[in-house]
Amino acid sequence: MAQPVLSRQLRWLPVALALLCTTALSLLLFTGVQRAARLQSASTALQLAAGLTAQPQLMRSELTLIQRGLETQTYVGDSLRTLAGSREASNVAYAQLADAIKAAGLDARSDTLAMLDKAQKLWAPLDKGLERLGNNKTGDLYSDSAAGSTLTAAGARLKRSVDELLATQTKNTGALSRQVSELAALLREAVVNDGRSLRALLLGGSALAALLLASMLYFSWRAGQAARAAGIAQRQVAHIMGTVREGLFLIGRDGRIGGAHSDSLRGLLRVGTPAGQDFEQLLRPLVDEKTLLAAGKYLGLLWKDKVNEELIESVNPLSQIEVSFQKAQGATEVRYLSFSFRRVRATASTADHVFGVVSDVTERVLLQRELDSLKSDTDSQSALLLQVLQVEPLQMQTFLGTLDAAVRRSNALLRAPGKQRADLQQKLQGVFREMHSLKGEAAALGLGTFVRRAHEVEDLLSGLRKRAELAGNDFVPVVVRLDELMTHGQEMSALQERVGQARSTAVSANDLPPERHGDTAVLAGGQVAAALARADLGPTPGEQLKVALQRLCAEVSAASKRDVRLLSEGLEKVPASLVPRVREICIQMLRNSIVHGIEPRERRALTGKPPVGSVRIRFTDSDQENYSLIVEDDGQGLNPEEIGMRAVTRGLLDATQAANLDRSGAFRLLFHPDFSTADTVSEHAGRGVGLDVVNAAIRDSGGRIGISTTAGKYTRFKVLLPRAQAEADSQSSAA
Amino acid sequence: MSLESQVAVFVDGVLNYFDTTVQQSAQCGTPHLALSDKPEISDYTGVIQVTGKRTGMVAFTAPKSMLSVMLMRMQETDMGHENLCDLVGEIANTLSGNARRDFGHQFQISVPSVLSGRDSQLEYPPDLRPIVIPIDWRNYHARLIVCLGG
Repeated sequence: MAQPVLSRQLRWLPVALALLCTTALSLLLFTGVQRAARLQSASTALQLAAGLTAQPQLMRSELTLIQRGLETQTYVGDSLRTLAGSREASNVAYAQLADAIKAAGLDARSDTLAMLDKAQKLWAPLDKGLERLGNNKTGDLYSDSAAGSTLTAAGARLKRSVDELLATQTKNTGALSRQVSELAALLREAVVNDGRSLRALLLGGSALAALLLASMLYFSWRAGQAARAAGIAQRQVAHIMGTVREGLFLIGRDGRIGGAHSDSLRGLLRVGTPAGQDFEQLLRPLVDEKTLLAAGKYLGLLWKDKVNEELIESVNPLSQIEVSFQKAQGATEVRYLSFSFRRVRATASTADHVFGVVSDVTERVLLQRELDSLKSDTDSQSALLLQVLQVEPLQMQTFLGTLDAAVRRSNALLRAPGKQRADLQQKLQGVFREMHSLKGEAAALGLGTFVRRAHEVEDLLSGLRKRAELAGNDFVPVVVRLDELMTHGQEMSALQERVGQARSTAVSANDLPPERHGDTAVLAGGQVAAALARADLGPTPGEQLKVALQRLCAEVSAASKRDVRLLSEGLEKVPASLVPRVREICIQMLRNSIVHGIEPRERRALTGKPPVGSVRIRFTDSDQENYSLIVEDDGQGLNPEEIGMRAVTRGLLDATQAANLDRSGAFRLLFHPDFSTADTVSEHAGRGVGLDVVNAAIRDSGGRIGISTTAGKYTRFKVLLPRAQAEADSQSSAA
Repeated sequence: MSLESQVAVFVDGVLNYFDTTVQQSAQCGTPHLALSDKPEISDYTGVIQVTGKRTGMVAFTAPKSMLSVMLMRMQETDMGHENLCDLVGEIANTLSGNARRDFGHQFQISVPSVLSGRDSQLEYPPDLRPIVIPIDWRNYHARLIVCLGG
């Protein structure tokens, strides 16, 4: 939508125009006032000049009247007074005229001054004559006698003066009158000119005022329109911000969220007032420390203008995060949020804000998981069949029994009373141990679908273990997965039964002469199945254990990218009743040896070791009291200092405790439920539960374990299992 | 919607009922599977049947003493059988409403039915293991039983 909003440059136009017009108007007014003053002075000068024009004639007339009055001995007092008054008025007028001419600025014109000067020069003798005339008037002018009136001496003097003045100044007064008339004409012209110029100024001023008014009205109209458009745009933005499901916000350079954000941000982050809050502080309760740190670094990169934001988008640690919100009953709600960020540039080169968008992608994530699960279910059907064919039936039966027992034990733990945090942590730890052990068993048999499922339960439990608050209903997903695990075991059992039936049929068919069923495909299939069926009768539990451990070694070595050879000795001597226990211990220790002990091929080459690492498992029954199981690898050995440091990072020890840690104390830490030396979690290591499982199995058997190690050379675990306990277990299970 | 999310909807529904209607929070114990025996039924049980994308049932079962105290907190003076049935039916109805709201059209939720007596028989879908979620309120213990498959 095109907005009639003034651009940044045009916004200054009304102000500039108003300033210009006001300045011009002020100048005009100032000039006008000056011109008016000059016009007034010029008018005054004109009036004075006009008044002076008639004075010489009037004076001459009065002089003539006085001359005649003296001749006829009549009264001349009035004329004398009028003449004296005229003279005085003329003197004043000349003085004022000079001032008025100066005030009107006409003194710059040489002709004006010249005319005035000439007029004053013409006036000066007349003035002097009139002055003398006034001085002569002393005493009576007439003396009366019987012969009539005659002039007195004073009268005679006066008459002489008047006669003389009339004789000398008659010509002069005419010139004076003309001179003053010319001056008056000049002044009139000046007045007319000044008036014209003043009128022009007034007209110009009026035009400017009209222009100013018009422009003000125009810009006011434009501003009104812009304000209306801004109001509409503001309402539209408010509607968008109030309606949009995503949380839209801006982060300033100080890391705080700006005042304008979409309403849904509150709901998405469960924060009443996000505005003004520090973004990282808002994230802190939602994500773990590692993600928070990564998010801080990522935002830091966004502020660096030279960093290409398109390139770093792929490393956004908040692109999909799992967050936990506390609910009313202490339960936790897990949601998935997706954050994306873009720079907002105020200028072409510098970022002003970072624009953030957060959306709730929980449904999408769960749907994707469901789809993945459906896909893996489909995959697992064929995987199941492969597993059934690969694993000895007896071993499979044993495993399915182990699975059933592990799920039942886990379920019993969950069913047990206890809602306090410690109780819940204990339940969590117990289920974890069961799943870890089960995962090891499944891996030893190459049962990938079970490994994955057990690993998923471990993932869930790991997530719960990190939470500050735990509630009973947080375990709902765990129970659902346990149910799925059990169902998967039932599917495997049903499939094994069907394969078993197929084997029986195949064995019967194989006993018949070949010509009775000439179909080669059927024959080949039958031979395979028959071979499998015959294999059922073969290996003892101890031999099966040996095979399982070889398979586990191959699988874990491949997954951990290590080259490892397993050398086992005496496993066939393991009593049948002790096989599950020994298997459980061997599985965990073999995985530990491969993942934590054996170095990569390159590192081994550097230290002069053979490129292929070796793990030796030796079972002996020569002792009267104990069975002995030794698991030894030629890997990097155990480093007590490193164990201490790892315990500090895991929060199991503080720095002082770690510094005072002795060798045996360090080795004891290896059996702590939360301890692992692996940096990342995989299907085979990183949970820190492996040796915990070993510890529990040995404890249950009444046995003990010892460790000997040399850094860089080897690690040996020696487990002693009491014969008496093993026999008692055997009898109780037989009963 | 995954099974765990659906179970969570029912658990939240019950806990919210205590929060809003009874105005005293209940706590949820750790859920578990009913592996060997069928889950124990209490004096009064409200049941809803679910069909559609998933099939099964959801039940809330509580002892008479618990329901009576709940009625008292709700300013009800009549603690008779009818009122106790109504209360457990209302809780089931709330669960039904939540399920309709959250599960969408892919599920059909039945009108709640009420069973009384500890010897009542709940019909569970075959080959499914019910999930039992203990609901503890004051010193009383109720259970939410969710048995959904498909």
